[in-house]
Amino acid sequence: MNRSTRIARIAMITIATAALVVSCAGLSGALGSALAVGEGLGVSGSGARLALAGVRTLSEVVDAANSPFTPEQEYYIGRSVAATILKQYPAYTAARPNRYINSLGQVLALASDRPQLYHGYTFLILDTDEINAFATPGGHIFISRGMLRLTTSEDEVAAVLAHEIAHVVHRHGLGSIRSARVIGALQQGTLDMLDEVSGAQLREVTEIFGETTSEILDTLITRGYSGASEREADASAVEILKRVGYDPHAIVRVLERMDAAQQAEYEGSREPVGFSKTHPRPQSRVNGLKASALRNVEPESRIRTDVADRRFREALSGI
Amino acid sequence: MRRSIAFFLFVLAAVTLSAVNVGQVVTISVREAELRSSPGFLATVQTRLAYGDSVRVVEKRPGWVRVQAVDAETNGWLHESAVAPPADLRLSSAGRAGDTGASTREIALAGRGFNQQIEAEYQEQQQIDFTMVDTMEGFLQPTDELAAFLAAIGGSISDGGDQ
Repeated sequence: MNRSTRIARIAMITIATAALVVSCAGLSGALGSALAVGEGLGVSGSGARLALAGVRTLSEVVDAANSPFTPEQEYYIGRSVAATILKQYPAYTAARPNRYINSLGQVLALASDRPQLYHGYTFLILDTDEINAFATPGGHIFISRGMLRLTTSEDEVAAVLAHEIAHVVHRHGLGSIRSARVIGALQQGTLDMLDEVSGAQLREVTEIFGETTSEILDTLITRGYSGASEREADASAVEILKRVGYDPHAIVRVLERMDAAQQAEYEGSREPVGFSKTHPRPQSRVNGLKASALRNVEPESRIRTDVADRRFREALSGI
Repeated sequence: MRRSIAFFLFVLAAVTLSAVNVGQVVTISVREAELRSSPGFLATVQTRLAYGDSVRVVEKRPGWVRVQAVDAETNGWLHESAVAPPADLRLSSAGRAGDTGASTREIALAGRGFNQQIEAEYQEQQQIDFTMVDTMEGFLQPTDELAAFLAAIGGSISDGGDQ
């Protein structure tokens, strides 16, 4: 089996086995600061090569301010991850709900620490009952109909979208890359070609591209982000909600409903559901949030919730 | 409502710690950057610059930089996340970090490993369809529509950066 076939197979298997994942729905307890944009040390170029020596996962060198990939590379990786997700999950193409989550999500992105991406943040509903949401390094964010059905107000949808935006801001998908081949290629400057490539070099770069894509898919669909990444995304989501004026406690309400949905799935099932191995119970994340990012934060909304919830119902009533 | 607008402006402005400094030459890190008349997402767009263009930072406000194109008179305000030190576009690999000439852009824009050519090759190998991804990317909404969405619930995106 050649490498690309193997990569495709790995991608398909990982997708297929994720029957009821609550993958990124990892809205967990919050540590640290949401304002993680540090001093940009520019981990890139020759600096990146040095920084990459001995690195085992890219999380050691990737954060909101640093990436060994260019913005354009992140975008193309994101497109390929998005296209592969859409191979498994059909898009829900109704115009109104998609327009609504794009308005909401793009407003939230403007309030994030990284409002400007190579292309920008765009959102799409997936036509599945599964409770799930995904974000690619290129700013493509997916939310399932099953997840949307769990929400009862605009600030709750905002909480889910803000959590996904935070994964993009902090480059968690890229940070999850462990492939020695990808890290080696970054270190050796294999991707630094200046012109169109052909022959063996084209094959090699395409293989590295495929490996990068499937590593991120593996994280999104099977492995899950690290607990630290989830906590960081939660903290940032709380921050984004506060900046816009939504009730930051909306994230807790969604998590508690996810927890209840998860327990309902467990009932009657003797076999442990796959995601339970990689994802802590949402309730434990609620506890984490209450101990950190939401500690001493009163439930408070500075927006007109009557208007917000009316348009929420109008946009998503048929979901 | 006025208070919430002011608060939103404040937090938007305060959130991004700066990685670039006045006088530094930086590179546009988004496909199309809109240079605005003042620091704020609703300010008038004066001109646009492309990914890889070199600009010099001439002024800073929290979260925003006013930049001047090194090879033109063009200047305007950009959010800091739309620019990167040249090294971030891996220019240094070609020994050109800090280069302020037109050649910088050519180098930054060229190749760069994962690009349309690689996507095309990968698409052919994997039989992946990008149609829906393209559709999704078309869902970007103009900033004034986003501002209207937020204004309807009593919020506001920065309306020109008056703090």
